Amino acid sequence: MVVVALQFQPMLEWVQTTRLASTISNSLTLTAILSSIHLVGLTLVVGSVLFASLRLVGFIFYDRSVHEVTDAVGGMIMLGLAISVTSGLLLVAPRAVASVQNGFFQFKMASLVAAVVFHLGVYRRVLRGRELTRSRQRVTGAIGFGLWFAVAVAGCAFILLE
Amino acid sequence: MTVLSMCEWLENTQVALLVRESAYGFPIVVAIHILGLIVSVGLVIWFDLRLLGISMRRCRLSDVWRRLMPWALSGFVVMFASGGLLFAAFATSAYGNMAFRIKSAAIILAGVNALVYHFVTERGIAEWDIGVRPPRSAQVAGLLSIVLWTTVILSGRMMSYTMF
Repeated sequence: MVVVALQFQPMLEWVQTTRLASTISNSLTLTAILSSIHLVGLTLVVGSVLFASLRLVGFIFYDRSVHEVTDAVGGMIMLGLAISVTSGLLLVAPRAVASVQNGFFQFKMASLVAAVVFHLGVYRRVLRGRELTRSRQRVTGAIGFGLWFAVAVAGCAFILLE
Repeated sequence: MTVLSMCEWLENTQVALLVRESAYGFPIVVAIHILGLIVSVGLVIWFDLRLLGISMRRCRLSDVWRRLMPWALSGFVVMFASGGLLFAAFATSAYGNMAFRIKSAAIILAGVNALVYHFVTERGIAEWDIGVRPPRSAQVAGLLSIVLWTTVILSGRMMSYTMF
């Protein structure tokens, strides 16, 4: 992760010098608004994933089709992700170099990449698969929520302990 | 005893000092508060969307409420308990803070909205429990809930930038 961060150092330094980054950096109000929007996006993603995971694990709506819940939350997960990623990129822009060097930020990004890859590569494939056994549902639900929950915890650690 | 003097007394309690002055007290309680918020509001929104007739349409409204609420309420308990600790630690600063006042007002209004829905609007649920679109009053309750809880999140996060 550190090697990757060093490779991108010139680009991160350039990002910090852009007018957009300066505008955000010079405005506490703008930073606060972006941070608030970021939390709304995160709530939509993790809340929706939790809803789907509770059904997949079998804690709620166990007498209804898994797809009834997972189809309902799919769009909201993507909407929340778009909101949180866009606001997150804008928040990081003024302090890109320091953020990328921060251990909590690195853990958050690693969890985010793992959660998105799992969601697009495994979660969706498992749900579309012919053999959607109960054990597969449970494992998929638990891992999916675990990864997104890790993103939220790492995000808290990053803003509170950096 | 004025509200401000009560805030000062609260700030000097043992638990408030622990949250405010210990090395990791504050970040741990804030993290728990945010995670409680994500669980509670993140799940309540799905009941609100059902009220609006947008999501889980084939499911009885009462069913969505009954199954989601135990989980959402657990999140609310965590959020309010940790929020109470945070308020105790910074009571005087919070009392004078506009974002905190907006947040408190939004929480109270969200509570009133929920009570009005459950004690007035929901009385006739037998007629529209299974319907795709509940009556206008129920839809308004769902929309208000989403707007008010979003306000709570936005103003709550603004507190971090305007209080310290």
